[in-house]
Amino acid sequence: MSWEPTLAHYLILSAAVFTIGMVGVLVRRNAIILFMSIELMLNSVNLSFIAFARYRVDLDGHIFAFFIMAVAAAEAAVALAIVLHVFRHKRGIEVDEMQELKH
Amino acid sequence: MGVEPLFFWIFAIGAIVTSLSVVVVRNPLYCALALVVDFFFFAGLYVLLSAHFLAVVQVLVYGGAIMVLFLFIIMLLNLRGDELGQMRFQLHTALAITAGVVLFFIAGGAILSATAPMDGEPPVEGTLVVQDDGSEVRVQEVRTSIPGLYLALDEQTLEEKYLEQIASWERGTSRPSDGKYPRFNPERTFEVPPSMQFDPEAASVVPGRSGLYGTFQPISALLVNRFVVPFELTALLLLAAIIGAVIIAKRRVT
Amino acid sequence: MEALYAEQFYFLGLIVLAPLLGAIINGLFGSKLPKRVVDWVACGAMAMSFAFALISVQALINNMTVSPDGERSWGMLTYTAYQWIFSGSLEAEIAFLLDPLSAVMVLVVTGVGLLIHIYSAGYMAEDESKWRYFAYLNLFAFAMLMLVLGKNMLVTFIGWEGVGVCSYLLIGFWFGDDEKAAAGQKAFLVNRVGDFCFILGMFLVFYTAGTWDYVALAEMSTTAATAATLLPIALPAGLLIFLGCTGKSAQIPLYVWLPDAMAGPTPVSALIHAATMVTAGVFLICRMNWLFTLDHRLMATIAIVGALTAFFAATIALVQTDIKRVLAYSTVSQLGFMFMAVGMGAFVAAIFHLMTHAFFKALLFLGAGSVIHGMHHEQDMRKMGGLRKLMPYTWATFLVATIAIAGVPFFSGFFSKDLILWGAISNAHVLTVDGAMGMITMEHFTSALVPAAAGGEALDIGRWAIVNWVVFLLGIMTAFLTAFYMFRCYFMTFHGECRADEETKAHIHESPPSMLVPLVVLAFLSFVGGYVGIPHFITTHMPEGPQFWSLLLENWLAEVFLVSDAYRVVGRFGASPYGLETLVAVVSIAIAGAGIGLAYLMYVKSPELPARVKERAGKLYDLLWNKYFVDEGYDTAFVRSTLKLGEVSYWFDRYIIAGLLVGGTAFMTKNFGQVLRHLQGGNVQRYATYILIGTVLILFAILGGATGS
Repeated sequence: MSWEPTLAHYLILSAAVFTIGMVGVLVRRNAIILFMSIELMLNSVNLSFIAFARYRVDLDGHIFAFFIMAVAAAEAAVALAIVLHVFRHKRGIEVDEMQELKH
Repeated sequence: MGVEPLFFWIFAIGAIVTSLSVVVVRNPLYCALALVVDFFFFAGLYVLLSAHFLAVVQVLVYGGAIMVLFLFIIMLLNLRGDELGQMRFQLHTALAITAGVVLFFIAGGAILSATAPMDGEPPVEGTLVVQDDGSEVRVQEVRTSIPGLYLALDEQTLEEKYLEQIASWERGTSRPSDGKYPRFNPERTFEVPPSMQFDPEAASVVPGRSGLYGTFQPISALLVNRFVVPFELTALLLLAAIIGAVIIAKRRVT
Repeated sequence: MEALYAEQFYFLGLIVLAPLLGAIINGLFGSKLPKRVVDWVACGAMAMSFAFALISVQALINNMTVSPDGERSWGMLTYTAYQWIFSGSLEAEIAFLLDPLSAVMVLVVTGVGLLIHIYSAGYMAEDESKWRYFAYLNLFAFAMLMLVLGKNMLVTFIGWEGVGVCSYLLIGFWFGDDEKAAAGQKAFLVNRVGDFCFILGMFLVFYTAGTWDYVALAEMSTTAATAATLLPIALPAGLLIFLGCTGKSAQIPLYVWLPDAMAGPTPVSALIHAATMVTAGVFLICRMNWLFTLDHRLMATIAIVGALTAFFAATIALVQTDIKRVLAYSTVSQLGFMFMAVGMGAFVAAIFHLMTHAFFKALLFLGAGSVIHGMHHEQDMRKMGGLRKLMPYTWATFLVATIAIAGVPFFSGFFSKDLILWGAISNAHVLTVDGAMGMITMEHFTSALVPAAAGGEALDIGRWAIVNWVVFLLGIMTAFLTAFYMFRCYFMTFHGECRADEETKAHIHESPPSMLVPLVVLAFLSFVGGYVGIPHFITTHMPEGPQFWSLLLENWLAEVFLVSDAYRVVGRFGASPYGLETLVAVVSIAIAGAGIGLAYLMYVKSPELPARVKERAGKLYDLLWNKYFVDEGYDTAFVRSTLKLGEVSYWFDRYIIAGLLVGGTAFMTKNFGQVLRHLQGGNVQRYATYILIGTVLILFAILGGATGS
């Protein structure tokens, strides 16, 4: 690993953040933090898109990242509305208590 | 040696630390704050990657809109410590962490093997230092074994190559899709929109910047030309999200 | 043998198709059709089949060629309907073959079949499910025609199984009666044993020869070079196929089903269990004569089994009182006669007897059916008697048949039975195999062995002469018994005082014309049927033209049974070639006369005699009355042991299979489920973790090799 950042640096950073976000999705039970972890994962993907775009000398990756941000915004809006609804319904946002579908 | 690598390391380590905080810290409010900081670090990384437009969007959309949404919800629910539930260690937590770490190492191994410098071709001399079997070489670009993908590329070379690309599109000797999308219709020609053309005046407005790459101008040109349909669909998606969020949040609990 | 008609002869397909169509029409729509239409469809189908058969046989006759040395040949007509199986070396076609042998069989099956269909229309007039009866009967005709016309063993086997099914269906036609349904099952199960052996034999033949085609097989086994490949399996395959024949043709040890099969309607007994299906075994061995003659031990076995069956069945028939049972045992006995002939290499005699037997035994059954019909389903002969005046047509035709089967001169049975007895004593198992010499082919036999045999030098004749004597003596005794029990049956039924109760007596009536016409036609055939094979001691004195017609059957079948010539040892007993035949004929006439006389004495002259004989020979009578306790023996040996095995199997199933294996599986599954249940707790995050773990493992599998990490 060189001191100067190269493509590999960005990608490994992206992988690290992605992994952290994923573990967060898997282990945290608070629905809001779950969604924050998802945002982390989306951001890490954005980072690798942008890094690839730069090191391929084109802008298509930027466009993808842009769309991902738009989708993330939409998703956050709907997801947080759901969290609100669930909280009103169950007085709690612990995801491991949302097991109605197993019945 | 410029100042950029220093920033990279600051941003990178900061991003990892704040990400970890998001996942580890118990109180959602602190998590949200860590996340804001994380988004700013990401924006900084985007700047380092010459994605100026996206850096701005990142701050505006994530750091502004989405974070406000999160904080708003947290405050609305007003979760106190005793409502946060017990931190329980479970078998599947350990499993998930182990699997995550393993996945990280697999991904890292794959990245390193895929971005290895191409054998047999000497790197072009320039400003970048790459440690190769101990010796230091100043290079402008290092090619990887994947066609069209560089391992290292300094900013000046990036701009030169990008301008060269646009110039060749203008001349008609190549198209944006050349060598990228195998199924792209080869008969179709590409007209470079005026907004994408190099404007020395516009370039001179940004100090220290010589080119276009990653600025609002070419990205918007792409958005309203090649990617116009997805762009409009995104608008539709956002509309649907707004309506959906309102309906879900307003529904009465019976 | 070579197919002279290279092109397709479509009429063979039509012969088979007509009854099938009849069966389909009656089977599918019969319940909705008026009874009269059902009659017409069934009989019409058979009549069409018969007409097509006549056309085909006429074509075969036209096909005749005469070689320069005066040998007549009719070759064969073939029709390949379609390629059924084409898999590697296994090529099976639905193909039909009409040669002189199958021509005889086709005419018997369709001709007698037509008569019995007509008879059935009257006999079954009052039955509600007549359409079902006729559908089965037509289906039977279809299967039987497949059997006799098959060009390869597979088609024959389809027919073989088809007639078995129809037989089962028709025996158990009145399935409301448990006893009759059980009889059907018995027939089916006993036949399965034989059929299984047959199928094994078929596979053995295919395994060795690589074909099931009769023409190809015949060519193989009559050519010295290729016969060597068939030689090692001739005995095992032949025995297996013969076992199949003992099932279908009711020979020892598998004859037990046939007497019980009389539970079916009487016309069925006449058609299936007397005239056609039960002769399938004889036909099959004749069809494959080139295989069976490869091994003399096989032939001797067949001859002895046939002779023993003939004799024992005849002794059982002596004391039976159910008229149909007498006829059933008589059928078993006569079939034994045919096998005896086959085993002695007298194939022509076997087919001859098969044909005449089809006439007179069908007539006997139909006559018995007429009696039963007239007496309102009374089958016990002790309650009959004196029907001569009440049912004159039935009486006359029954008498003709009885005379024919008893072997009275000028009636058909005499000619065929004589030919068999003559073959039994004069033929010899000479086609033996010498390991060092390889096979003794027919050419070799005629050039080298006949002179040697004439000079008494061939060793085999001496060694195997014992077979001749056993078979011949059993045959003569059977002939005597046959004459006796048939006339006993006749006298008990038609002579003396009527022993039926008053009410039945008042209603005894002659049968309707649709039943009488077939009787008369069959009586005519029973009389003249023998004149296609007049004894040689008469024909030698004839000019050539009449001689040909007098020995029509022999000449007609000569090319099919080329091998048969090798069995005939001319001049074995004395200089006159046919002297022995004269002697056999004389003995046979005397024996028949004695049998008839004894029957007359015991059942007409002094009716108190049978009771005295019964007292005297109490033990023997019991033995015969109980049919040698064979059914009981089989019951002990097979049925009870099967039940015992069933009990053991039940225990095994209950405690080992159900208890240990099934229960154990359930136990294991349940307990694993208890453990695994925790995996599926409804927690989505855990599911996602499992997905991640799976993904990681897959990535390991994919990238592990690629990156070398």
